[in-house]
Amino acid sequence: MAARQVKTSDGGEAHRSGSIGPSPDPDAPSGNEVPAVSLRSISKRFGGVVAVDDASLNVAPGEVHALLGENGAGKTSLMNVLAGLYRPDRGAIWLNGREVHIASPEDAKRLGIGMVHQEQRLVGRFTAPENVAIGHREPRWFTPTRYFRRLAAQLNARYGLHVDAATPVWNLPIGRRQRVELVKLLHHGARILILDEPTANLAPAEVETFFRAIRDLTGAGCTVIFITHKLDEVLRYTDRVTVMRAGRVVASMATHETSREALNRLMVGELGERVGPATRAPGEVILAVRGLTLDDPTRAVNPRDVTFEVRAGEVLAVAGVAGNGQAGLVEAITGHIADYRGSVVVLGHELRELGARRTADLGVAYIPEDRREVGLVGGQSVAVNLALRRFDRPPYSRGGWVDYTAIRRDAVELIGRYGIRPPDPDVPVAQLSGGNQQRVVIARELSGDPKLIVADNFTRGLDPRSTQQFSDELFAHRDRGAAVVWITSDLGEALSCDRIAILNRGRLVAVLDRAEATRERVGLLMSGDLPAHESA
Amino acid sequence: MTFAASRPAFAWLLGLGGAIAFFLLFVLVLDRNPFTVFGAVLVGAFGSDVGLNRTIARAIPLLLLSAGLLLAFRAKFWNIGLNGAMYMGAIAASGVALYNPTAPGWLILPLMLLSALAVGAAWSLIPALLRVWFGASEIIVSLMLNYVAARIGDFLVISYWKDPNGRGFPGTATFQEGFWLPRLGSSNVHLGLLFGVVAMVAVWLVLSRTVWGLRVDLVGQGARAAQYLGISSAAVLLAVAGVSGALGGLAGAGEVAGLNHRLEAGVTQDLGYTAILVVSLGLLRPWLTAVACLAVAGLLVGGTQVQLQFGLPSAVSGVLLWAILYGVINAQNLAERWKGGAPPFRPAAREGTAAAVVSRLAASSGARGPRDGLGSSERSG
Amino acid sequence: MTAVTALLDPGSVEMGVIIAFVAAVVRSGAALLPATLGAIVTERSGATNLGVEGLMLVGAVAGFAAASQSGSPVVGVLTASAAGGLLCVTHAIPVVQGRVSPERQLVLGLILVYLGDALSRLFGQPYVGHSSAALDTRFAVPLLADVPVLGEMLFQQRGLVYWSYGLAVAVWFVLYRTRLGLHLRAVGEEPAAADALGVRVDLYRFGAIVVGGMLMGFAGGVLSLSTIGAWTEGLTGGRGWIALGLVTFANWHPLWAIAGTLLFGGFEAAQFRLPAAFPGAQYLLGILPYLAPIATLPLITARMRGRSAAPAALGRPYFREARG
Repeated sequence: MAARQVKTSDGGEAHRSGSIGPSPDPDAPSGNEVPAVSLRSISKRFGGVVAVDDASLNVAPGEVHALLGENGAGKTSLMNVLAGLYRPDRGAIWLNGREVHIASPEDAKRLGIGMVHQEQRLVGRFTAPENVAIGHREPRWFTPTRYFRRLAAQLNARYGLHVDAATPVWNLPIGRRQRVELVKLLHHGARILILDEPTANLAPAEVETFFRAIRDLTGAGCTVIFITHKLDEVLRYTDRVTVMRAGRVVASMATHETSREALNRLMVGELGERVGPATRAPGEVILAVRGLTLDDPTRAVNPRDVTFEVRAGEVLAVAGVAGNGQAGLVEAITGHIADYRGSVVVLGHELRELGARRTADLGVAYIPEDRREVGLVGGQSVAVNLALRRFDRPPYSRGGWVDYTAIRRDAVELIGRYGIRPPDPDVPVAQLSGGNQQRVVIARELSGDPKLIVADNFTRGLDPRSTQQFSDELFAHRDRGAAVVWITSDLGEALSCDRIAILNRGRLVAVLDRAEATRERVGLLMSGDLPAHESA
Repeated sequence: MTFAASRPAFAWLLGLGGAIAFFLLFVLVLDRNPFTVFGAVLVGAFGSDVGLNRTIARAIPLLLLSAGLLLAFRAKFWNIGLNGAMYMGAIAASGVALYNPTAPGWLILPLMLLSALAVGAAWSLIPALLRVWFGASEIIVSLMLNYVAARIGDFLVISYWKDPNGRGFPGTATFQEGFWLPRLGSSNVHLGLLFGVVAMVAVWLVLSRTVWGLRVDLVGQGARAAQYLGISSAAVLLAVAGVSGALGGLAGAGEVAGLNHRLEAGVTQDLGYTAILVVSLGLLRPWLTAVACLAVAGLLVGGTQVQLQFGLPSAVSGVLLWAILYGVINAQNLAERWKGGAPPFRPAAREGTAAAVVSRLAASSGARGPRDGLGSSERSG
Repeated sequence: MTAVTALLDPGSVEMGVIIAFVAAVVRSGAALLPATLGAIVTERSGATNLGVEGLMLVGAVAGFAAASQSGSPVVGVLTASAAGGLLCVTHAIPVVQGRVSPERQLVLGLILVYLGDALSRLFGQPYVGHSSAALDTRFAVPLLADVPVLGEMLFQQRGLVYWSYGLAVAVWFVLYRTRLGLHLRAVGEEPAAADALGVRVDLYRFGAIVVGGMLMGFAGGVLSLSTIGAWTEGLTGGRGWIALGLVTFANWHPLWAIAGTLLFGGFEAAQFRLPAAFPGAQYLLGILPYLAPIATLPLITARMRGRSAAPAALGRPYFREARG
């Protein structure tokens, strides 16, 4: 499965003639040869937080090397050191048997190291060739328009990129933008590529294409370090894997020598079993969406004629790759927008007339995807954030005056119940870790025993332990009798729900029962490769 | 740890020390004794009854203006148009006085103040409405409106409202005594002080104790969170704009009814801008801001004192004043940055925070592509 | 009176008046344009500088003084630029190195206005009311100046006027046709992207603030040496603020800034040319340059949603080590 396949496409030849340096034997992924990259005892701390603790890593030339770990394990920080973004407090970096000093991204670039970051780092307003030209030594002074036209043609020919010199990259589809990022690095002469969770926003089919392109690169002599927390991709596409936990490197081995279970144990230790299906039959309809259609010109994809219902005591997954209309759907079923066609009814109330406030008052809890910017107000204390839904009504306020003692008193209780750390109601919520911030949101939204819970990708960026804990919490509310809508881009999460609705290009292409949903089927539906009628 | 703890102190040393060093050098170059000059500033501002009078009189409009700015800035509504609101308030109050020269004071004086409040509020609502309706940058709009107000004032005092006996001086005739705000004894300190103190205390209470004040902070610190909670940002923005403009207008009325007793060109003395500095020095906290009002007023008054006493050109005190304030702002900034050596607490690089609001200077809500909706999954556009 | 009829009634056009008016428009615009360009350069890098008015004042005094001492208007404007750039170093240090919050950037800009004003009063005292023999003289462009009507309107200006308009084209060229400009715009849009490719964000921002200050100082020099031809306290009379309004008006584009300055220069020239229909009329006309940005801003914002050229990172400090 993890066997090496070197496919040299027409692009591969071009790489070799390009700026890619000494080409090692691609059939010797690891062994006694000099490693392309050797990080030795790197440590990096931020204030009091240790991000990377005495981490060492060897990457052989021409291999695809996975850096695996849960979120916050220090993978990205370690790679930021290699990319010159962070200066390590201790440790040394060796490239091809020579010690090097990397004090800035400029140094890293000179040494042939390039990194594709988790958030894309493209100038949206610029065209693809303009983005590629930034920071390049050529041309020294002038950049006439014909230069960019020529560069576009050159990139298209050499890397099979389909771009022109007129379209701003923010108008390109997300997969293409990612290719632009890669080509940018190659154009700058990168031979060591660091990819930080490159598949997060890709559909399953795009993932396959993406890794084929990566293989072409290693075939042409590039070395690829691939940061991820997805075991599937590690097992399927990489040669070696190094596992990090809590800032330390805990193991490193050839991929074919290990297994899913072993890697999972190394990454997180033991975890409990996934929650089973609902034991009771679902109850009354809580949320009914009929023919929901939006026309928001600021979004690329809007929901189109979406119809589904959710009953008390069941969890419905809305599965889809990010950017397929989820945002509009979430805003509609939480009462945030009124200019939709069709109907959204919660417990007999059409939301169009209610607005966000009164929708929440019906017993609709909403856990937003972006907890830092949407779910919380970072500069305010934990106590105020816990009371955000109710600060303007009794018992928290009377006659326009806020009773901060009451807010604080209840906060102390919630902090204890949900295990928020540090257990201090007065600390600004921005100073909490990601997991504890999410605890604050969940404590606030779920403590009132809501009837409908809308959870939008709420495990994103959390470590598996917290993920497990929070989804358990969600399923506990289901068993209590709440209806749950879980918007997710993660196949595994979708498959754990009672029913799975698949969203593609704004349309609900299928609603499957847990029993009939297989990994392959849902994956294909998500990427739009399986027509809806075939799944019916 | 000890170094980490002492960093803010070091920042203050650097910022203030730099300002003081500049002050010393500058005064030495002008061939005066820096210590006597600095002493004279303090004595001039706080050391005599006359000086203290003047300082407090100067602090009155600053209190009103910065109370208004506190509300606006806490909601991250960057209203830098209070100078214009103040001007319009002064014009409105003067208009009421000039067109009713014989009416009784008990009727006209309150009318002057009320009209100033209303006109000031309306003036600040213009940028707020343009922002709410079109997403236009309130910074540029309110800035431009300052000059519109100033030109209107200039126009009036040299044309229709010009004092016929004024010998060409651009100003209106003096109002009748019944329209003057009562003063404290023979001093310059007028009833406006009470308004200023009440306004500042009220703003403090509102911000720290009331539902509405918390809403202001929520809109300011988390615009998208406010939307998520169903708080109407537009309503809060319009309200803070209106209140801040009204207080600006009142400050203007105080100057014409309490201090000058007539409208002159340049009545605001750019205090609307100075107040921006004051609230920044006060770190957007009411009590610190009140202290900053007094300190800045003292520096303004003490500065003019120095130029009389030492025969220095009037610009010298200006240079010193702004250099010192520059040092203090930098010291505050460094102290925050270096606090405990931790990485910046404010996620400054992210959208939706303070930064996003000043990117309103960019004039366009569409500048960042798709609208900042709640669901953030859709990044293409 | 003749001017009014000439302007309003095409039947009895007095060509001479119109020519003089257009020439005055071009001259007025010449002092506004470099200041606008300075603000554009600064903001394109992602930094803000509200201090245009103060920097123009400093430039006006420095330019006037240097020209008087040296006898050369060219030395004058070069000194004006240097003074503007030097003063802007005090802005660049906290904004770039100090990474001040956006609101403090505004405050620091305001301080620069007043500091510049005070400095200009202090150093300008000896020159108040003096005329200088070194004032910029007219320069007729060979051949072009002889073209009827147009030649008189455009090509018999004082020498520095040509510099101003030339600078706009130069700034456009640098921003859109050179590697330097590509990097500068990238830094103002997506500093993290530029940084990752080895573009030194701090260096570019610092440079942009200082060069922007030089352009603002240059504008002051043109004002005191060419447009007005004298130094008095508060000479700029709000032109610095108009320049800031013009940046949005021109949608951050140097060539649009030319069009904008000509329009605003027109307001200014008209102000002093229209005879007073009633006392103080020119003050009411003086409102127009400030109203114009307000009137067009909602239009620009509404129509160009997503297409406004406002730099995406405008006002945001850049932290490389900020943890996401």
